[in-house]
Amino acid sequence: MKHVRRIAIFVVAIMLLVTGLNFKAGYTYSHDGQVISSPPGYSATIDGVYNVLSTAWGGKINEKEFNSPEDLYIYTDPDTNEESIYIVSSSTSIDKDTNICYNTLFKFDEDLNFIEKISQFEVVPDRFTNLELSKMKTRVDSTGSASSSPLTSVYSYEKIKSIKETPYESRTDDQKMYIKLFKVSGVYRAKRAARDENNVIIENEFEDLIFLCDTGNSQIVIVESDTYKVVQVVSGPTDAVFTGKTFSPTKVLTDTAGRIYVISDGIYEGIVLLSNKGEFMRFVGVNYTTLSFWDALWRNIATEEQRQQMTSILQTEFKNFAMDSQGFIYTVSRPTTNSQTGATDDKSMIKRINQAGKDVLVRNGYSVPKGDLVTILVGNKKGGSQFTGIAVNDYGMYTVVDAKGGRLFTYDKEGNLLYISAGSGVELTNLVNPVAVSYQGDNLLVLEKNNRAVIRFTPTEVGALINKAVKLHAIGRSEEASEEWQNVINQNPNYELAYVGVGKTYLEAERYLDAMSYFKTGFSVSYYSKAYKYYRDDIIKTYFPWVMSVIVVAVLAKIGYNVYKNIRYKKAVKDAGDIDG
Amino acid sequence: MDEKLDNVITTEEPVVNESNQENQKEESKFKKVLKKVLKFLKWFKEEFIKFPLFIVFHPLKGWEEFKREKRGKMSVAITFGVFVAFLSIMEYQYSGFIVKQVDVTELKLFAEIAYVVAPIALVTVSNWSITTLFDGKGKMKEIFMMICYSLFPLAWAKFVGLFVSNVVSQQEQAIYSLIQALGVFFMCYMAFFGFISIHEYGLLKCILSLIGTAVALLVICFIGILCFDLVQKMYGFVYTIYREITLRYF
Repeated sequence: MKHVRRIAIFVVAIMLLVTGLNFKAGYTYSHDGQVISSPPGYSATIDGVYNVLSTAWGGKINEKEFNSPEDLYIYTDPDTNEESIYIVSSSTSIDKDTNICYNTLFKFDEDLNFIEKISQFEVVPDRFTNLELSKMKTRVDSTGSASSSPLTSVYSYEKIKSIKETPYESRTDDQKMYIKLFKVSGVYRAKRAARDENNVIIENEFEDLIFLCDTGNSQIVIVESDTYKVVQVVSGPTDAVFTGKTFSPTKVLTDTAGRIYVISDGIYEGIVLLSNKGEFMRFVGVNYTTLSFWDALWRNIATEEQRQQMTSILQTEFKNFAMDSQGFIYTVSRPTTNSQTGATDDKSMIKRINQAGKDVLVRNGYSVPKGDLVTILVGNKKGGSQFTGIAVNDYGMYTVVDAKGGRLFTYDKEGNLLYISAGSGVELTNLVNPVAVSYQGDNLLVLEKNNRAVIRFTPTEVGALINKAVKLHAIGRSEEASEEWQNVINQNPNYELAYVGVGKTYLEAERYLDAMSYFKTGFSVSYYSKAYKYYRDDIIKTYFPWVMSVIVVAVLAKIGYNVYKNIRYKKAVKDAGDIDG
Repeated sequence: MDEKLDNVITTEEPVVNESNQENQKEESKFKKVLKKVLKFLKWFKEEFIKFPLFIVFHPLKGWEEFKREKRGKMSVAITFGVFVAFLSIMEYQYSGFIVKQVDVTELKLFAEIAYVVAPIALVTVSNWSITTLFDGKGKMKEIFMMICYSLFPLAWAKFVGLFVSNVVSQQEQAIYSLIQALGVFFMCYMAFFGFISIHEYGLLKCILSLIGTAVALLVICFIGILCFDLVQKMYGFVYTIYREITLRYF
């Protein structure tokens, strides 16, 4: 019996080890959508995990303050190249011990060393009109439960008037007004051109602003990046299309012209585009749903009552977005689902939206960028990937983070799946409920809501090679890129995309046969076709003159022979005629 | 001397004669073979190309000849079947990468053959079983030959397509698809008129019988799968008993 037990333990240990190894080894999808073993492109060590216990934060962050981190944004100063990392953490309920509802903005430096935290933002009433002040809202958490309330009901008009009469320097703490955030869910920092009172841009003057999505207060709070004083508050648009809808902004970003793009919960029409003044302009990048042929036919045939019983097909709202250096907005959303048939359309979960609001994402990969291709069909983890964050780098590579499997999927600008990293689990480096992802140079920072941590992912050996190859290809140094792809093949011969990468260089070097062979191994029909066309042209160019001249000579010979025969025949007839005569 | 000469002559002459005769014999043998080959080629051209082509362009008259004048030959019919099976295997192996991205290591020879043979056999049997009820005039042998003859356009389409697939680019892939589609279209066209002529049906009755054939085909498939399942279960039962006995007593 002892033996049996020992053997059993040994077998179980081996199995665990093997499965553990398999898990660590990572996977990717082959050209035909099969799961194949492949090393991940990014990995995290315990040193890359930052939470309230880490030395970098110096114990200055309360566990309660960092209870529910919502968004992470890395701001790079264009002049000094200095990076600062912003994280917001939200709460919906009041903590019983301290009687505070924690909604805090944290600022870190590029190594994630804690710099400061701000939980309330000063409003200087002199800068605003009474109308503007009446629209502002703030969290009230003294009544026992947190709620949102207009600023003017917390501070009465008389008090505001008396505050205005006192010079700013001599105001007491009691005479300062603050906006407290409620269910804060998004943070963004950008410079925008300063404007005078006529809304005309002042040359070479910029405002350095932090945008905060104050979801619980239905507003976007814009504060100065150094003093954290409120500059502007964007309340819900009063436009007719918004009647009956609550404006609950969850993510925000701005473009170079200062226009504000907002993702709002419960708004299915698309991204809300606001002017720099906060006026509604239009919706951008609508998530269209398309009816299948049968659905359309059925809806046509159905009577009005039947149609009312049918479940409406809702367009899904966007979950997160990011802007690349060229001003394109990358978005992630859930697949559109027809709740009646259960059919989902997950082909446009990731979009790249141009200035005109159209989706221009290139989807030339082996499969459409949509995260996991093979999915679990039953259980609580069934279904496809559910993206919660997206990050773009300067070379058109983008990484999406999937909350369902806790994975990072990285694609290049042509839509090829480069590698799949991370995964869910019980370790601190695993992703259970990631909510945001961002590129920091070559590294990736992921905000993990469940473990309340920021995790820094660094490229693995092969990941670094792939990144380098994509980068070199993007800046046009394709020969060096080819070398890198060759290195990738040496590390992982199953990496099909690398063969295409090498093939591209052969194609540019006009070595078409080599290119064709590599494209064939990499299963890229379109590139194979391109190379083959050139190859075929070459063959035609070399042999066409010969073949054509042979044909021409043959035809001429035949004609000549016919003419000669004709002459001979006529002569013979003539001779015969002569004899007869 | 004379004797010697005579001897020489006599010894030489027969040799020469023999060799001449052998040469003549060899020549005649060669000629015979050549003649046979030529004859075969002529027969091949007549049976494999001209007559099927005649049926394609004059379907009613062609099938009439096929049946009444017994122009259809079993050997030719089977050859067409074999040819199509062979070509589908060749297609798997030698089609251009642009047209077909298949893993050659996943080629299943018998499956490829079965994909050709099984539909022919199924359609033959189901059509026969239906048309005997609908008083069709065709015998089973005729139906089988007719279906095999109808493979003629498909065989040619596959043959030409095999070459074309290797010289087209992705943009010109439509040419390949067109060839394949034409092959299938003409196959159906031939078979349809074949059914009309073989069973001496009118148009409507032919269509009805074809629908019936489809139903019969499904029924046959259903019964086939049922039988297969049953046999498998029986085998499983017997095998379990065998295992039980061997493990217990041996």
